Amino acid sequence: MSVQATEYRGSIHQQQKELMLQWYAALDRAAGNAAEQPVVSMMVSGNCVELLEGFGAVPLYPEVNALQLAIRHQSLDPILLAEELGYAADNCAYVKADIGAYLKGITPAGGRLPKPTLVLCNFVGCNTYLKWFEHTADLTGAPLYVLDVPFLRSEEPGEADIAYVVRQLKEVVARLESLTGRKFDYDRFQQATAYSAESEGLWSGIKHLAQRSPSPFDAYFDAITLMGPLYVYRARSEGVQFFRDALRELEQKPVSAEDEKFRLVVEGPPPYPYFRAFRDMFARWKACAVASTYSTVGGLWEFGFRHDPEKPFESVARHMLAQNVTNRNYLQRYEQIGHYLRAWDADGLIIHFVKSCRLFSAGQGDMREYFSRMGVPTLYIESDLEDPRYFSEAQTRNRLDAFFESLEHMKRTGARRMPLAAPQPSPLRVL
Amino acid sequence: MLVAAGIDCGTGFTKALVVGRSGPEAPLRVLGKGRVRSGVQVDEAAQSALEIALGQAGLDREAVDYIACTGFGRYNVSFRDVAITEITAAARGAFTIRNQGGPVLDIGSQCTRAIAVTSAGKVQAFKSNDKCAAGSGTFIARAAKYLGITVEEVGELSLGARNPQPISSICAVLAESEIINHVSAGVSVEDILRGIHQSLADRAGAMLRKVRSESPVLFIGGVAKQRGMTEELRRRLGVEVEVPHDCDFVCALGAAVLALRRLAARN
Repeated sequence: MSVQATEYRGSIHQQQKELMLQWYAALDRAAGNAAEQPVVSMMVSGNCVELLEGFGAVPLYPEVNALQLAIRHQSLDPILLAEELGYAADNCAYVKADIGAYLKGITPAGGRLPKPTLVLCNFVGCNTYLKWFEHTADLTGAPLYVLDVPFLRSEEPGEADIAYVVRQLKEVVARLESLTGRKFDYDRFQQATAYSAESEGLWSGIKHLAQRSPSPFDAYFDAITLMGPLYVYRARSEGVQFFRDALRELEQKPVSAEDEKFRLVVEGPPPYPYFRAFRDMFARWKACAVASTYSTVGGLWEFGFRHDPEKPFESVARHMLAQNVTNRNYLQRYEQIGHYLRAWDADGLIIHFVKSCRLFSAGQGDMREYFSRMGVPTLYIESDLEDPRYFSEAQTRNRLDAFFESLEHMKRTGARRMPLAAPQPSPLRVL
Repeated sequence: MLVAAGIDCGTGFTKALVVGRSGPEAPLRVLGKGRVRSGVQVDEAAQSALEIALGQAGLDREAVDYIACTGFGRYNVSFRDVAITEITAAARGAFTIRNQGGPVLDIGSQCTRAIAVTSAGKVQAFKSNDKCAAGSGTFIARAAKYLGITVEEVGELSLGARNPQPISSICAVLAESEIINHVSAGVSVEDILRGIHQSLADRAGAMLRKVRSESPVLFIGGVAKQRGMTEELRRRLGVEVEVPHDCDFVCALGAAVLALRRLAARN
């Protein structure tokens, strides 16, 4: 069995690379002129990049820096340094890579990273971020604001929760006005939410392309390529243009039935230190991820949510509270995956357990049981998103090969793919 | 006669089996088998094992029409026709031996796997150890080395235990420390070895329970040669444990049978 080309390389990939390099260049310039260019460090999940536009501030995402280090095989040294300093072996490897890289002066693109104007801990679903951002603030000497986003406890956020987050967002505005000496530009903020809404619609269109069979878009591996611009540029005209081009290019991408043998849903982030090798394990079997939960860490836009320029603060709050996978409960994640399996017509589910992220991974064993009981072919594999020591290529490939061999047999013998067609009771009702 | 070979490129040993069938309904015949240490040259080891098997069969290399490789080194064999996981190969090999489904426990040098096989010989579910080799053959080999005995002696010595001493750790490195402690305390080699088998049986039992398969268990792989381990599995799991002849060739057999099927389909 030959390995096919492991990834689609279109002009959008070049555009993506240029956009991300522009972002790093902006951060580098900011490092040289802190007074002129505000920078806000924050978390990807539930990020409020629209608000930053009201100050012309550049977002700084420690997770993106960490994963970039991992993809470039540079994450282990910083992790080891962090462990020498006392971070435990099972601490979040993103944290260790970020802290270690800061202390070592390693940056993903080689340029400088600025001291943030504000370390904004928008801790959504992950309480490790509290400590991470406290440490970042302590190391850099930057001020810290902890934006407390309550965990989603019902299907939709309550008005009190929205008001609570909006009040904090306004405090962030006041804090940034004081730190930068700039007046918050409300019109620009509104415009940013309008751009976001447009980018989100286009992104949703791209995700829905994967409902085609064969799919022109891999909603895991290709989606990861597009996620950088989604977090950094969605609230700007460049982002809208990028996603417009991406949708057009993918809509026109020629794809034949022979290119797609299996359709999968993937849960969990990829092992970034072995990203290419991991992708090859899927490509070898012509397996396409038609949907993934990881690509909704920043937002669940394929389910209809859009930022609203008429209610910019409220829509940012709603996004932070409910429209990202990490702030939702496990049963809602089950529902999301079940919906993907049905509406995106998938053959099975692959769950990637991340050893150093208990918050995202705890409960995935039960998740496997849940979907296995529903008749969904489910594979559970373990490694890490950042720490290369947890990845074992031979074992991982072995499990994936065995899974695909089983799926192949099921297809060949016409075994029923999965009994998910009948509507399942919403897991939310269990609550 | 259609002739095919299955080569299991394990981390410890490479096993080759040449099989033949004179017609679609004719019984499967094992024509020859070969076994060599894998070393680091996977391709060469596969070649050597196959040559031994061909020698036993009295056949030339040209007589083999199809070669299926399995095991960790399967992708490194340049002359293979197909690569199959050892999970699928083990399931098929086990089914060929007992002509029925059921649970299979495969413990090799680096891997421990529990596989539930359907009544059609397919993989229903499997559970494999992670990258850690604790609970597999390497774990036993390390212990044997420290205790100054050969791996081949472990199984019989373990049967002679009177007061097995538990090895609580599932980590091979930490377990070695425990073994050192037992030696220092004057515990007999037999009791230590049985403790190791108990620890391994517990780990394997947990995997078998996860694939939720009914007894009896077919125990395959190099570690299945150790009688002390088989006894401990029986005792701990409370189920019948069957060990086939040439238990370390079952994956190679499964690969060979699958190769023969592909060959028949092609022809």
